[in-house]
Formats: sequence, C-alpha cells, structure tokens
Amino acid sequence: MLLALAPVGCYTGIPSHDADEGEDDAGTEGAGPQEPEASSSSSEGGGTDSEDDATPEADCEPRPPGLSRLSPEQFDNTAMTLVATLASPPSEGFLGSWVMPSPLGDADGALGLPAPHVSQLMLVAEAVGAQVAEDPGFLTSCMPADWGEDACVRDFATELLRRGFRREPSPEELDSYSAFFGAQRDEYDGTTAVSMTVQRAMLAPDFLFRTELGDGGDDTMLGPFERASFLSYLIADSPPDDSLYEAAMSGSLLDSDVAAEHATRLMAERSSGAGLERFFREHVGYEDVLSSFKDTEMFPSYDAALSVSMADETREFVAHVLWEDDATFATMLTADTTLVNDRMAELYGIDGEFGDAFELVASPPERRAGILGHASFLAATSSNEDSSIVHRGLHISNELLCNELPPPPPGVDDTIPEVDDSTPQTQRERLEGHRSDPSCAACHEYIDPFGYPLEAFDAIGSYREVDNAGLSLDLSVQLPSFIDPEQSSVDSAEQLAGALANAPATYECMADHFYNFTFGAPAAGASCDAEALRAVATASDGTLLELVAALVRSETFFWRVRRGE
Amino acid sequence: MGISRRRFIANLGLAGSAGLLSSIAGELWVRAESPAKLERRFVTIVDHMGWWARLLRPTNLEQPSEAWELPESLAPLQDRRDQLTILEGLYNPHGSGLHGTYGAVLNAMPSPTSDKRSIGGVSIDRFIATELSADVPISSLNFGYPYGGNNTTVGNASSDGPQAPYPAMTSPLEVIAQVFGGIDGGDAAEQRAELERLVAQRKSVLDSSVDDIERMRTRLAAGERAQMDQYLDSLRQLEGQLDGLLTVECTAPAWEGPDVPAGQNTMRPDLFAFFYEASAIALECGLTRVVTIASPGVGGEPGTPRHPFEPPNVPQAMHDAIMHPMLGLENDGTDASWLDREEHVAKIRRIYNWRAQLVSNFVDRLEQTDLGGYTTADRTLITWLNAGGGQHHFGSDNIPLIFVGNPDGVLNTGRYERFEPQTRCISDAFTTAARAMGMDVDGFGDPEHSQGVLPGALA
Repeated sequence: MLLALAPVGCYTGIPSHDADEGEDDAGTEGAGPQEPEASSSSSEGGGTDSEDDATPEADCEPRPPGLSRLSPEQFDNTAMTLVATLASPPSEGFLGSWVMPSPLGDADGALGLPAPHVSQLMLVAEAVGAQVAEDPGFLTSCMPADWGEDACVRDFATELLRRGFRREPSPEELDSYSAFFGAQRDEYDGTTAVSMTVQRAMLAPDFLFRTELGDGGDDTMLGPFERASFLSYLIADSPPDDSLYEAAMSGSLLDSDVAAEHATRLMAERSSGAGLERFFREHVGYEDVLSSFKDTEMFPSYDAALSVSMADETREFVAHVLWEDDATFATMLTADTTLVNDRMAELYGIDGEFGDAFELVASPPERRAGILGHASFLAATSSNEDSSIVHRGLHISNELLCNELPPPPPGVDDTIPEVDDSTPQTQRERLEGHRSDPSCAACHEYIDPFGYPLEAFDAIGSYREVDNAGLSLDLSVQLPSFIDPEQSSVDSAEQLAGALANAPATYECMADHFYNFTFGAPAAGASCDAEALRAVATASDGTLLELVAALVRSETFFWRVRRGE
Repeated sequence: MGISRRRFIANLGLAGSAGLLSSIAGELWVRAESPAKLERRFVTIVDHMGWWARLLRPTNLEQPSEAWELPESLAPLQDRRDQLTILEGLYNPHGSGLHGTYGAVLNAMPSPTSDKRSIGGVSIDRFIATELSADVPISSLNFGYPYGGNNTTVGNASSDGPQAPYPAMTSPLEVIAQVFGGIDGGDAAEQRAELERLVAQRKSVLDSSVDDIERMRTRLAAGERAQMDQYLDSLRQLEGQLDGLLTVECTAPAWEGPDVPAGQNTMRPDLFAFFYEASAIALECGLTRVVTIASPGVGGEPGTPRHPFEPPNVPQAMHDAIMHPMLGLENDGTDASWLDREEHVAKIRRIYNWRAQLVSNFVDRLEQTDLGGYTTADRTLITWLNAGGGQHHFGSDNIPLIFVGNPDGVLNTGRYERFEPQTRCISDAFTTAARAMGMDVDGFGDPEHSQGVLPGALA
C-alpha cells in the first residue's frame, strides 16, 4: 500500500534548472571544478523532465546537499566491481573501527576520515590494485604489452572510473588519470602503473563517498547517476548494476516511475537486497550476540560457533521474511516459524536431523514470538549467568520502540539485590524496588514490563519454566498504555510480540530508524519524508519494501536545498 | 567563567585543524626550548569496566614510598613504587553513568549529542601529541580492542575533537604494514631500497589524491567542505608519516600466525605483547612519542577464559567479574558486606595483577634502550587509568589513576593521594600530565570542572 508523498503547502523552491538531461549527462555528472552556487548546464542538474524544470513545492524542508560516505560493506562491494574475483572482502581485517550512522542516531566519527582510517584505506587499495594489475582484463581489453598506447590507457581509465565513481568520467578526469598512469608507467612499469592508478581511484572522494550535489546549485535535484547510486546502495549495498546504470545514462531514471521500477526490481531478490538486510541487522541488533559471553561452567555448550549460529538464525529468518514471506516487520515479530541448523535445533529442543544449513521449521510453541524468541536476541540481552529483565526490556523499549530513557540518576541505588538463599526470590521479585520506588518507576515502567514475559528464556535463550534457583516464573504483565491503550495483560513471549506488532510505536520507530539509515541523519526534527514514512510503516505493518517505494516516489526524496550558512 | 586561551586550546578539536594548532601554538604557550622536553614520551594505558581503588592502596601509606607494600593488585610494580603516583577519588563529570566514561574517558568533555557515550573533545594523548610529536613521523600510535557494535568508543579512547575518534589499530599485520612499512626479507640495503620505492609510490598516489579531493572540494559549499578538509589533513599527515619512515630506522615487531581481525574482542596475551613491543620500538626509534593502548573490559571469544592466566581462570568478562558482584557497594572500604565477596575479590586482584605485570614488563622493555646517557623509560610518563571507577553504573565518581615514571624529575613521585569526592576532576590529572610533558597549560577538558595541576604533583 503506497501513500503518495506529494508535497503540498507553502514552500517554494528556487525555480528552474536547465532541462538538459539524458545523454548530455555523459561525462559531466560531478565533473570538474564547479562553483557551488553555479547552475551549470555542463553538470548533472536538477529538474525532472522537460515538462517540469522547477524543484517541487513542499511545506517541509528538503535535505541539504552533501556527501555520504560508503559503509564498509558498500566499499567492499564497489571495490569488487574492479576485480573479477576476490577471495574475500577487501576491507576484511581493516576498517573494523569504522563507525557508520546507526539507526539510533549519528554515531561518532561517522563522517570523518582520520589519518588512521585513510592509512587503512591505502593498504586496502594497494591490495586491490595489485590484484587488478595481475589481471586487468576485467577492466580493459588491452593487453599489458599495450600499456604504451594512449588509447589503451584511456580505455582502462574510463572503465576504472566508470565503475569506481559510478558515473561517466569527465574528460578532465580522464586526462588526469591517463597522465598519472603514464607517469607511473614511465617511472616503473605498466603493471605498477595499473596498480597505482587503481589505488588513486579508490582513494578518490568520488569512490569513497556518494554525492548528493545535483548541479551544485542551492536548490537542486539529484542527477540520474546520483539517483542510481542512492537507490542501489540503499537497497543492495552495492553500486548500480548494468540496468540501473543504463537507465541513468539515458536519463530515464529521472522519471520517478522508472526509478520506482528499478527499486522494485532490486527489492525482488535477496541477491540485490543486502542493504535492506543490513537495515534489519542494525535495527534489531542481532549481531550483538557475537560479543556476548556466558559462564562456561553454567553453559558449557555455549561457544563461538553457537553464537554465530544464533546470529545466522536471525539473519536467515529476516531474509526469509523479506524475500519469501510477506516482508513485514509484524511477521518478524510474530512468526511461528524460524530457521535452524543443527546447533540451533539442539538448543531449541527441536527434533529432527539437521546439518549446517538452515532449514525452515515450526517454532516450538513457547518460542512463537519471531525475533523475540530468537536466542540471538535473548542471549545478547542477558548477563553471563542469567536472563536480564532490565536489559531485555531496555532493548525493546529503546531500540524497537525508540523510547529514549536517561540513565539512573546519581545517588539512586540501582542494584539488584543479591540472591539470598534463606529467602529465595526470583529476579522479578528482587526488582520490586523498580515498581515501588517512584524515582525508579518513572523509567522502569517503560522497561521492565517488556522483560517479564521473556523470563521464560535463560541467559543463552533456552526455554525454562523455573529460574536458576528453581523458582517458578511469573511471566504476566500489564502492558504500558503507550503500547496498548487498554493496557492488556500478557503472559508469554508470543503475546508480548503480538502486542508489539499491533502498536503503532513499533512501526514509527522502525520508520525513524530507516530514515536515519537512508539519510544518515536522525529523523527527529527531520523535514520531508519522515512523517510520511511513519504513516507508511504503520499502515503496512512495517513493510520495508513499501517504505522504499514510498521514498522513491516522493518528490522530495531526490530534492536538495542548501540552507543558509 | 572565562576561559583562558590556554584552556581553550584544550577544548579545540584537532580534526582538520592540526595545522592551525601548530601555527598558533607558539603564541599561546611557550615552545619547548629544551630538546629534552621534546624527547619526552607519553604513554596512556586505558582499561575499562572499572577499578576498585581500595585494591590499589599500598600499606604504610603514612610512610615514604620506600616503606610501602603494594597490594597484590599492583605487586609487579613493587620495585618501582618510588616512581608511582597513585591517585584516588578523581571524578569525570561526563561519564555515561552506566559502564564507565565511554567517550569522555580521556577528554572529560560533555557529549555533544543526546547519547552520553559520544566523544566530547580532544583526548589528552592527542593533545599532548600536538606538542611532543611535532617533529616525528607519527603523531601518536593507538592500539586498541574495539568493543564492537555501532559505538566503538569504548575501545577507541583517543579523539581529535567532538565526535571525532582517533581510531586504534587492532590488527598486528596492519601495524606492521602501516607503521613500519611492512618490509621484510633481503639484506639491509635491499630493505632500504624497497622502503624507498614503497614510500615514493605511496606519496605519488597521495599527491594525486590531493588533486581529486581539491576537485571535489570545489563542488561543495563552504559549510560542506569539512569532510574534505579533514581528508586533506589526513593525507598530509600520512605524507609526513611516509617521509618520516625514511628518516628513522625501525624494525617491525614480529608476529607469527594469522592476523587478528579488527573488531574481535580478545585479551590474547600475544596481542598484548605485540602491541607493547610495537609501542616500545616506535618510542625508541623515533617514530612517535605518544602511544595509547586501550583494552575493553570484556574479552575473549565466547566460552573461553577471558583472562588467560594460571588457574583459577576468570571465566567471566571483567564486567561481570568486577562490576556486577560489587553492585551497591561503596568504594571506600566501609561496606562490611564487601568482605563477603572474597571470591570475586580474588578474581579482581588477579586481573589487576596481570595488568600490572604488563605495565611492569613494558617499563622493563623501555629500560633496555640507551638513548645516549638515558633510557627510553627515563623519558617516559605512563598514565594508567580505567574508564570506570566507583560504584557500577556510576563509574565516573571515583576513578583511580596511576602515573608511572618521572621524566626529567618533573613529578613528585612515590605518592599516594586520595581526593575527597567530587573535588578534583580527572582533567586535573590530565593537566598535570600535560605539564609534565612540558606543555605550558593550566587546564584541560571542561573548564567548568578543570582546576589545573593537582596540588603537589609537580616537582
């Protein structure tokens, strides 16, 4: 279900851009030095088609122009287009400390390139350059013996920049790169020149960043190549494929219907949907389990391989819902099926013969709560030895419902009373202070309720009916009003998941995270599209495909306006 | 409260402005006239997930340090007790309050975002590096163990400004390639020739990248150029680093076996040994004068002992072994129930002891280098601290910090000082460290909390 995001209202953009789109864009998009205030016809410009040169009108503020740095995955996928085969992602082992905008808001260092990162990039580029030099045939039909021929050098540079920069290179860029190649060839040899030219391309900002500059004007629309990159990196975490590139080349991508068709095409298959999977990886946080540690004496079966299997289960489950089921977040929360391998089947007590591969199975009755019933979530939100009502509740409240709660104020005793063997109490009972003390309850009423029904699972996500001390568990809770205005009671993970799936806040939060994921900026205080995304998400039970389609069709999605400085 | 220009420097972000700082530094503080000051070294060792000050208190404190008996936690440093300055009771006003000070651990500045874990300003090691490393290839070396997740500031303690982490290297092979040029094999002359070739090629690539960046930069409005400006600055730093590789003679530390992927939580002793050795080499051969080593509170692969020493192992992460069992206990020795936690306390002592041994080994290593009448250790100040201290979930109110070493006798060492709660911010310890390094500053970090050098700290 799509909602038109046609802007209405009083904002009037600066009108008129050159309608000179299409083939004339070849070799000019982003080309050469441009004055930011110039509205140059020699560059990718705004406008949609000859019938509508003006930027849209809206009662919201479009996003400003800028640059968006490629994530490590996007960087790898782009680098891989330069080489026929790579044994592993080029940045594997590097860039581990790169921080990208997270669904929870701007992350530190998300936009920067400090010297240590650039140094890492240089090493990665050297490795890729060396591989290209070994087999440059992926980029050119010229043979190494032809490196002395200007035409071959230019042919190589053209394809290198076309793939690396995701657009047609300008004559100036080709001159510069060809000259650079020639200088290195003369200094060293052709093979070294190939490697160094690849390195230079990979360190170029046009490689490392995705541009949203349009024609460079203060009020502009993204050009066709920028749109192609935006769509492709958002959905596929990869540079544009041939079909999308050709649409950009022809200018047809400036038509929102064409753009929507390509988005739909990319979203149709898992092979081109890595970006969407990554969104859920960050939104749900299921890879947190990979750094989760458990007491080896209490949980001897828990090891690195099991934590990997836990993460893989959720990854495969998300993919299954996206590409083989109804693609809704509601289903991710409430599904009564999951995918297991041998380790997960054993953990869940599912009978049958399983191997390394993940297979779709019916979830055990106690675990029919989608991702909330997954060990990845349950283990990551537990302590080394036991479940954690607060951590599980906090994860749901903060990250799935976008409740931003402050830390405990100084002076407040936030400790969970230790287990007293003489008067045994469950964890829930020991947290009574969270309910009886008003200074605690003010926040914990938004946290703890989400953790109570999940007490049915221990620190590694195994089902249990008693806690570590053998005490019976009380899973019942009355939900907060912001989730359920009628404050219904639930007493199982399945019921909790159902309540979350029925709550608008769940989808509004997902939409906000998706906004941040898409634009690298928080949705809070955002202008165009954020509110519309929330509406689409709520109406579609959190169908990411609908969110993408809505964005693509939005007249403000590709619109950039530079604010006063 | 007015902010002196000297204090302001402490808060100025370094990202994209290293050149600015260099150009104005001469105006705002006295450039070290003595070559000895420039030859001082500054090492920061940052652990996470908490220290309990009571476990760091020597006995016989009322007597000179010669009479001290260091606790088990610090026993490996017993022979160096006269070189120690043990501080207790420092606070960091900008910790997240949950699991330590996160982005404020080395800068004591408020978070610029709603997320209290965000980095608030330039870290003390990077700040000192602007002075100490002005004439060496690498401004500072940072080794660490990113904790993982979207926010990696737990492991990356260093920063060049608000929300500008200075990332740590986590991979031995990356260190060898990036810091030491990655040249091996052949005789010295062949290695030299290979290094010169590598440097020349890298500089050619970087030079051409500058052209590409400038071309992009002209397409951006003034307010949009910060990213490119930082990128340019980084390239220039790298060029300087490459030039520097040819001016020093350094031998890369050895690393056997497969690489350790970035982002992997681990407390592997071989990794620790590698990073400490790389630090020692870099400090000795003149690659840098500032090193920071940060380790997380958790570590080890799931299911493996986190702290790899002789039994009894500590199967839990430091977080669970130290902080959670001590929930609710005051860190002043008055809580009798603390004694009931002896099982946990024993584990904690072992963890601290192991880390103290690493520090002691490192100092031993630095003492092996004769720089011409003195050793590297003679010129080095180690600032060893934890991102947390005090009660768990309020880990910013009682942070212990230990200075190890006394370059040029600038410090009054062999001291233990315990500050009353909320009286001395950790930024005062940082100011003290900066002054010990010869920087003429009277404050650091948040000016609302910075009071200057700790009383009696300087000789």
